[in-house]
Amino acid sequence: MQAAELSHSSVFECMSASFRQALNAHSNLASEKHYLFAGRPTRICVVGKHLAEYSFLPFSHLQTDHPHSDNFQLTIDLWDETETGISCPIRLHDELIAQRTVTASPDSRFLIEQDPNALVSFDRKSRHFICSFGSADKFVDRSKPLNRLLALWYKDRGIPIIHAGLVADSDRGVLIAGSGGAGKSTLAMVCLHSGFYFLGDDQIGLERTAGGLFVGHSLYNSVRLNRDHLNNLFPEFLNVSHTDCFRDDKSVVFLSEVLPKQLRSVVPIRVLVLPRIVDVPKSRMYHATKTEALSVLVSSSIVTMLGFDANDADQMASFVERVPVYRIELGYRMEKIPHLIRQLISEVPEK
Amino acid sequence: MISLNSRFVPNTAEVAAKVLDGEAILINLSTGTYFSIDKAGCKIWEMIEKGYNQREITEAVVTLYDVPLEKAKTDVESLISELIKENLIMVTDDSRSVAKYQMPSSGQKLPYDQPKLNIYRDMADLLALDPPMPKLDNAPWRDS
Repeated sequence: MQAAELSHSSVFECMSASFRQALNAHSNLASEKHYLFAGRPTRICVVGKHLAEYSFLPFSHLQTDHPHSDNFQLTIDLWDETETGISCPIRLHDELIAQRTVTASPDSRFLIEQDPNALVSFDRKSRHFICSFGSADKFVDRSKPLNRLLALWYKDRGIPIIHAGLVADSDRGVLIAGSGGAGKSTLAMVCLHSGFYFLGDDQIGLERTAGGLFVGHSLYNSVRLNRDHLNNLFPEFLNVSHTDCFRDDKSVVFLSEVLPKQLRSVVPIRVLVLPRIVDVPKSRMYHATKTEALSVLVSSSIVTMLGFDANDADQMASFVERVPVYRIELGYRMEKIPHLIRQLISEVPEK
Repeated sequence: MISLNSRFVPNTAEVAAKVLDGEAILINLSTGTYFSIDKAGCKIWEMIEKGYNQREITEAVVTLYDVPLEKAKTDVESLISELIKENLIMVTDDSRSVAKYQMPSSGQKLPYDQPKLNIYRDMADLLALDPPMPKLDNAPWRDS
């Protein structure tokens, strides 16, 4: 059945019925886990053994052992068409299948995202994702599954997903902002190497608390690293790295597989740093202007965030006004950088 | 036709704007193009936001900055034209009365630099490469 012939709500209902069919017919292939996404109880149910491995891993650091059986704020149901033999009942027009597309119902309640291997239907009101994958082996974005539409769920909770990394020394978060290639992941890994906690390398939920402070929420425990940096700076991760399906020059590491104790789900943010990779030996840090910081945050997030609007820009501006901002030039020799950052954080007064 | 009595409004349907530390950052939410204006240019932007007409804006610039009237008039007109061209502001017919602008008291004038609208299209180019994204209503699908 062609998706163009159905409303978005009907697509959701068809997908939901197919998922239930897959679950009922193959309960032996089903697994369910519970999480806290930005502190909200979340349930992920997967029908398909291989698909389950890929689906659960990026979120494993957010898993909770305390089930909230009647009070989930988010439900994600996924099934593997090949393993279950239950095909997705919906297809977009053939000319669109080669691309990744996102469409919305007229009232913006239902969204559909499709790529050549998967179809995702999201109901914002019931906070429910239904996803079908042609085959787990072709699961394209293993490092950050469902990132576009999941960001919309966070945004609906007043937590815009910004294009930034986040590490923490004890309970003091350092937000790392910059466009692609600026060195966010590299800086995050250098800090992790030095004992910092890790919350993300390029997507973080920014939430303003009741007291006016800002906290950063972790979404995924994966990190994408430039191959050269992986080989030269973090060779111990070579054996656990995966190929990034989107970028030939990058590899993916799931930190829950190698450093689970250095993962955190949320931390107050004390400082914002803007990295830039430079072709000199020495690294250095200096004050940046608030407007430079806001430009960097907004300009990179606008490309990645579905539905970016003036409220999101406002929240980022309020955040930038509140925290000290620094430029950090990353030279070849990065060993002193964690010490510099620790010193920086220690000088920021507690608020 | 823009005159000295013309008033303007920011294009809030497509543009988010914020002033930080004397510099205005403007973002076109549809295209990803972003802009910055500082010093006298930022002051001009703030006065546009408050609804003052071109004459009042020019008078304020001459009062605050060390610049001759004719130069200020040319520069204000030029900046406003550029803001309109980039779809950041629109001329308004709104004839609502705006509180009379209180000219700052004469004192030491600030050094003057010709206002410059800095334009950054790097993210707009990236945005154009992405598949088209649907425009979403700000629907209240919030936590209860």
